[in-house]
Amino acid sequence: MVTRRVFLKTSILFGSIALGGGISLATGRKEIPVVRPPGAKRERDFYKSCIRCFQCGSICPNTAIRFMGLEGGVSNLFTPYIVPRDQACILCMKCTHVCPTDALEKIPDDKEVILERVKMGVARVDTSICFSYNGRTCGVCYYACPYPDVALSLLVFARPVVHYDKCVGCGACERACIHIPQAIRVYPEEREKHAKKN
Amino acid sequence: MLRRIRRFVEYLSLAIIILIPFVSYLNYLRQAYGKNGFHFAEVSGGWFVGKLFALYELTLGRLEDPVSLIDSIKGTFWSITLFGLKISDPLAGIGHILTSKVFYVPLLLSLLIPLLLTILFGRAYCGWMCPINTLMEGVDRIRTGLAGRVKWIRDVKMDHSIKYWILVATILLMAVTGIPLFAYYLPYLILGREVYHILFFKALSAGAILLVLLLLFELFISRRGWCRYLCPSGAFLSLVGDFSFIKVRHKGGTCPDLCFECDRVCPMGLEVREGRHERECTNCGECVIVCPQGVLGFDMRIKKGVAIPILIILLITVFSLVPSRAHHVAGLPHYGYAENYPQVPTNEQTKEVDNYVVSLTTIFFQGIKQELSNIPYDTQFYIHVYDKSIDPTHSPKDAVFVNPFDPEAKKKKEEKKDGIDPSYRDKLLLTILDKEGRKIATYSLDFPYEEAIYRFRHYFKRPGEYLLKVSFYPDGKEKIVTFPVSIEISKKGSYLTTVILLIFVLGVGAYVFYRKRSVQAPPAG
Repeated sequence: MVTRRVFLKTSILFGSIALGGGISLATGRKEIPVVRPPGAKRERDFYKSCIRCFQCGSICPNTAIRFMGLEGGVSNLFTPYIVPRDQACILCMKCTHVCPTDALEKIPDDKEVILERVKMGVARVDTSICFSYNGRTCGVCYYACPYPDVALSLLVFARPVVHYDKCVGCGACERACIHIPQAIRVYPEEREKHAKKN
Repeated sequence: MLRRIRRFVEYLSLAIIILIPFVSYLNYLRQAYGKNGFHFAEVSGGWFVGKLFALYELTLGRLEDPVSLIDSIKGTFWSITLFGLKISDPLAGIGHILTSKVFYVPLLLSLLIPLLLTILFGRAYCGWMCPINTLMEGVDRIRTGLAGRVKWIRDVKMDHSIKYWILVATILLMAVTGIPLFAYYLPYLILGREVYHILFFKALSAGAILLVLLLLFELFISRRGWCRYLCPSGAFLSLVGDFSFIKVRHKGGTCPDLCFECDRVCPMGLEVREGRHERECTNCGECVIVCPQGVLGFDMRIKKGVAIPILIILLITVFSLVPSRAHHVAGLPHYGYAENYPQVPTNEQTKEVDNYVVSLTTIFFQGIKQELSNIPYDTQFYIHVYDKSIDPTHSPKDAVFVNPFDPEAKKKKEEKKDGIDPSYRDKLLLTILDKEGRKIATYSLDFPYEEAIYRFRHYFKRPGEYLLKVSFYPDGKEKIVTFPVSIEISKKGSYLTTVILLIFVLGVGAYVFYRKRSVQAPPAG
């Protein structure tokens, strides 16, 4: 059937394809900061654990989870991410339970547990453009926050202050902000410190 | 009879692939718009979404708890969730181990059912369930119909062992790069994903091009080429199915000379007559149906000591389904943001030139469609200019709006009318520049639009950073103020990719049709 010459030739061919492709793919990786669904691993491990089964996106009741194209490089293709300005996470934790792998850590749907274990990022207020810091009283972000007075509280004139250690990074405040561009944003880099190491 | 059963299973699995995302989308609509949200669904989503919502209300909406029921059935054949039981493709599990270097036990347990079924029935997934197999059988029929008429349909025959090399190469690549590459090109996964993408994002993903290329490849270049020679999933199932208990075998009796019916009919292109088919046989049973002498048949060589434990494990895993619990709302507000925050985003800026204060209010308004409201291509600018030295207590608000129920503000306004108005009411020029300083548009007004407010409206074609140059001429001297304005457009899919692909496929079809006509047409003259 397969002679030794054919075996050698084919294995050299496919081996070189694998090697060349591997080197080019490994060097072409870029990490762009995106908000991942709750319970996600560290960014450098996430794309390895996700098997791209698309179940988290189809179970999301708010269609907050969408899937990456080629903007995140080949390695991040088809991985789930969230754009809080378009649709924010409503912290229902359905996606973590439907995920067949350890890419999303299973977190029970309980208010206290979510506050403790979910860290999708941290919201920061841009005080230079926020209405409340510039002579107008707004406070919309406070009313959108699922943890008012815990993660986000208001000063005088409804000036928002985020408590970085408590904020879960769901992005409800960013979604609700009435300023364009949004004066409060979720910064996903903060997830790296809290996420599980592989 | 055998063929009918197989067709039924095939169409059922194709229907599952298409129905799961469809029902999920209906479920999303129900959760987004509420129980009686038909009107809101129609207004915000358009005619199609309204009709879908009505369909949901007629069918699933009558069930007691449709949301948790549909939430317990998710996924494609790559990885599926059925009432708490998770079943995954063996290649997904292998890929996960290779890329993440972690043995995640729930995922490995979910591989049990497909692996055990493969050990029992061989490569039956390929012949009985794979939606690509179903599609390609249809393509094969079209191909045989076209074959007599179109000249350039070819049947390239390759070595059956290529698929094993592709399997090995992908596994090597995954181990080196850590990217789960199987998920990028396996077509049965892409198919389920595209159905999901069309419904949820109104667009196709990058994999759709691969799917179309594959269809064209099978139609014109190689008959059943993917399943026969290239599919790594088929290769893996063949390797496992080599040990399977149920197989098509020669039962005894002799084949007549020159009868190659089984070889001719085999969708995998195997040499059944010679008995060299056993590893890659999909157990589809076509050769058993067609065999004129009844030589071929399903042969079960089950050792009881092996088969009975496997059957017991299968039964236990299937019947130990944990019914998924209803989604419990534990204190968090699960509201739809579309209803709670209808926003009309605005942006206000003030700048000073000498003793003049220029204030700019930008309004991005898109009407009732909430999901479009932060796509500010239709933008209105309201500009107010006043002299600070005449009235330092003046503010831009005074020029626009007076609360009629606030007596003090009304009184202030009336006082202002008697005194000198600091507002500028002469010619004003608005120039819109892009980031490089190129001029995009110019607007000019000789007098204010209303009270002392100048109003302009501009449609931006693309997002980005822009500069607004406001020039006005108090006492004949030109004064210029520039404001930065950032236009953000949120990314949304469009039907455009779908339409382009459709045009492409139709074009190929039309070309084939035209070729056929031109071949048949008699020579002119």
